[in-house]
Amino acid sequence: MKPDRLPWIALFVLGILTGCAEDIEMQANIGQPAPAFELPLLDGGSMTIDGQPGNAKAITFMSSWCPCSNESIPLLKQIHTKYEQQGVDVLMIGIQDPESKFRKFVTGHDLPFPAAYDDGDRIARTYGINSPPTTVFIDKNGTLRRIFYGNIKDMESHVYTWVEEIL
Amino acid sequence: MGWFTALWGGFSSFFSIWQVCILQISPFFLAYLVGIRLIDDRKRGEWQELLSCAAYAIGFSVIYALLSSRGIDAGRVLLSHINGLRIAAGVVIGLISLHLIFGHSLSINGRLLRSIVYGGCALLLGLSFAVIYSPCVTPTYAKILQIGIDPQTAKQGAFLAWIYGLGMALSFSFVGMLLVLSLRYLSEKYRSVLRNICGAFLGVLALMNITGVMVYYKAFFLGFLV
Repeated sequence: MKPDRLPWIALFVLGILTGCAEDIEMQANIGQPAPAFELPLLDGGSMTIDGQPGNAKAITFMSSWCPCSNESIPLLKQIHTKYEQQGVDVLMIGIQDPESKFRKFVTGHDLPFPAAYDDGDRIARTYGINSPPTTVFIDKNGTLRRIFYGNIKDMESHVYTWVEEIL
Repeated sequence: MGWFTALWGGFSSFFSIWQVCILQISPFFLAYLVGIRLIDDRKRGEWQELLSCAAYAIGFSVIYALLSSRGIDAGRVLLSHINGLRIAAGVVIGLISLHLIFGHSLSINGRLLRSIVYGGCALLLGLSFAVIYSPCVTPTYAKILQIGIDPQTAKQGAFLAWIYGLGMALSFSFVGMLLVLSLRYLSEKYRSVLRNICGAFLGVLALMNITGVMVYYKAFFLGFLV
């Protein structure tokens, strides 16, 4: 094979490979209905967001390997305990992780709220999430109120206000 | 937030606990810089590596800024196509790894031509690394992302993310140049071996991104360190 053909072969392979990748449009806009999705929960049942009125939601996207994902779990548990009776669902979604690793992570932390695994980060990408941890707040009307990128533990004084906003 | 805070946030992340996240790309950049230093045996100054660092910084920071700005259309488009872009980045990194392994047999004569080739490779590497990198969100970067998601402040967010990315690239370059300088003391007989190891190292990164195995690298290797 002539060396000058290599770039063309590389381009051809590139085209084939990238053509196989799934494009997912970011649909999340603050103040608009939250992008709809349904995910099976790790312990059975399913998690549904449909942009319709219902319980408010605090959904955190995290990975087992990310240090600040680990740090934010105690605060999420506190929020769950404090606001569960007032109609706030705390949910966790695993991204950028193998499912088996994320399952172990969830089991190890003995979460009192449901968790699901986002295969291929499809849901995360509709919310414009490229890095863990990120927490989205959806109010009782199904409207996306806030997306917070980073460790919510660093914003502990604000997080309770954000939850009150979606009640 | 001021530009210096963003710059320092990016620079200092390399030397902090956040290096755990940066390990997704930092060892591979260092391998690249060491590899191109060893690609020819000529005695010369380090200008070529400095040029590579500058080109890498430009490529990395521009894409990093766009991917950090959900309030900008270009950022949203890039994010929508991120899976395809990661595969493309893997192919580019693979070609660069082949260049490291076999490039010594190509005679690139002339300082200008060498500058174009090495600068171009580093620019492409920077673009590719920004695409494959899934940053952990440091406190400074978190604030930048909040600015970047609001359409009214998205341009400011993109500017700060660009500066933050430059800060990261600066820290990579700083450490990389120290490594390059230390190669002056490397015995001649180990140079080609080390260059091939560097090339192979990048080749592994390329394959991980093309096949989607990168997620396992993050989960098991980085998770082991956390």
